[in-house]
Amino acid sequence: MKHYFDSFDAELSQGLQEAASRIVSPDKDEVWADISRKIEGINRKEGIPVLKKLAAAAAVLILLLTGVFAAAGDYALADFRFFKTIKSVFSNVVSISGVTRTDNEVPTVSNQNIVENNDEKALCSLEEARQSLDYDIAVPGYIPTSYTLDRVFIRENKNSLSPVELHYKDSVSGNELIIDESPISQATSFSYNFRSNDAETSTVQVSEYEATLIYFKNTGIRKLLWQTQDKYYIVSADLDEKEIMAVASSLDN
Amino acid sequence: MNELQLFRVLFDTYFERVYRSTCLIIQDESIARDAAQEAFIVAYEQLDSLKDLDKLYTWLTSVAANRAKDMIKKHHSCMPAANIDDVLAEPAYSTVNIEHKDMELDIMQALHMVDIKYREVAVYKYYLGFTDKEMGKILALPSGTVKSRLSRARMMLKDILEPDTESGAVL
Repeated sequence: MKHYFDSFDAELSQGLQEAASRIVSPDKDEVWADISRKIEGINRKEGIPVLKKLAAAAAVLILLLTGVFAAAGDYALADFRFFKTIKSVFSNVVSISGVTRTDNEVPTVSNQNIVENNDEKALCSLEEARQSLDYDIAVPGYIPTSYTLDRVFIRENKNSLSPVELHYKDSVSGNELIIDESPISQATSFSYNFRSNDAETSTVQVSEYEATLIYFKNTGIRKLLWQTQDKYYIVSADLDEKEIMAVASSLDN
Repeated sequence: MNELQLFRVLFDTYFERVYRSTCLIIQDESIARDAAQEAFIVAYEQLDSLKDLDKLYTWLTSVAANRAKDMIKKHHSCMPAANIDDVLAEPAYSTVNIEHKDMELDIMQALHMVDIKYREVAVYKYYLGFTDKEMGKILALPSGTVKSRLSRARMMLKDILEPDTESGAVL
């Protein structure tokens, strides 16, 4: 069979693109209103697990954005108490999602109270953060020699249980080491998504806690995620595994 | 961002292109709208079970086209002795809203004149840029059949759009 691609193909393709661009699309808000009504009906009827859907939708978004790493799906679920991390793999996309919740059941749309997370950050000193937050901020007993504490942020600065970020800076390279601490008593959730061919994940041990270590091959960044009885930690840095593990293990939980 | 908001981003990203490709294939705005809408609802229901998320767009387009064909079949099911293949071969009704620009009208008219099975592969190939393999998957056809169908679609469209040149197609 002859495989065509000549000027006629190019004209046909261009003509179709132009003709299609002049097709008036229906009002998207109206179509979306119909779709969301039906989706809500489906959710009520079937109780589709939110986390699974959320992670899948977020994974597609990551594919759309073609980013190696991104956080998506931040939202807070009020009245949930226990933290659960779900690791899912969709095709070559890995999604690591965490949510605080009340029991072993995955929350469904019908029983949750979703509060938007506006992702605001307040810059302050470590002392100011300690004074305004009602939990002990863990600081590492070990950090690589060239790193010093540079900035401290209180994230979603809404109450005394807001998450805190400690930013350490390498005076030589300018690279940052970030320690993110979220108290579990604060309702929260997250979803990290990335392509498995751009990153490697492994399960490691931070003190007595199981942790997930993600290595982003393109950037050299490692992210270590784990939960203790009262906090969720994420340590991110351009460090080798031994060093990031040493920083994590030295946090005075 | 909750899951509906996330899904809304997917909808915003893909809807127009899914709608337009369905319009080109089916040549009916109302059916194209309903079919594209249904494709997104099916996508939502099956999102977490889709194996190839990076093929979501291809998948949405094919679901919309298949739904649209089903709708046309249903629409004509009350017609006595109607041959569904004949019905599908006839473009439903062309209400596609385009500007009256000669070349574009020619292309739209040309599309309108060919059987839906050729129109479909032409739109997949020349509008959406799908590969033969993707088309084979969407249409559940062997690659040889896709290639011959595409070749015939191309010849027919060329005969309509460039009648003075010889392509050898017999309509």
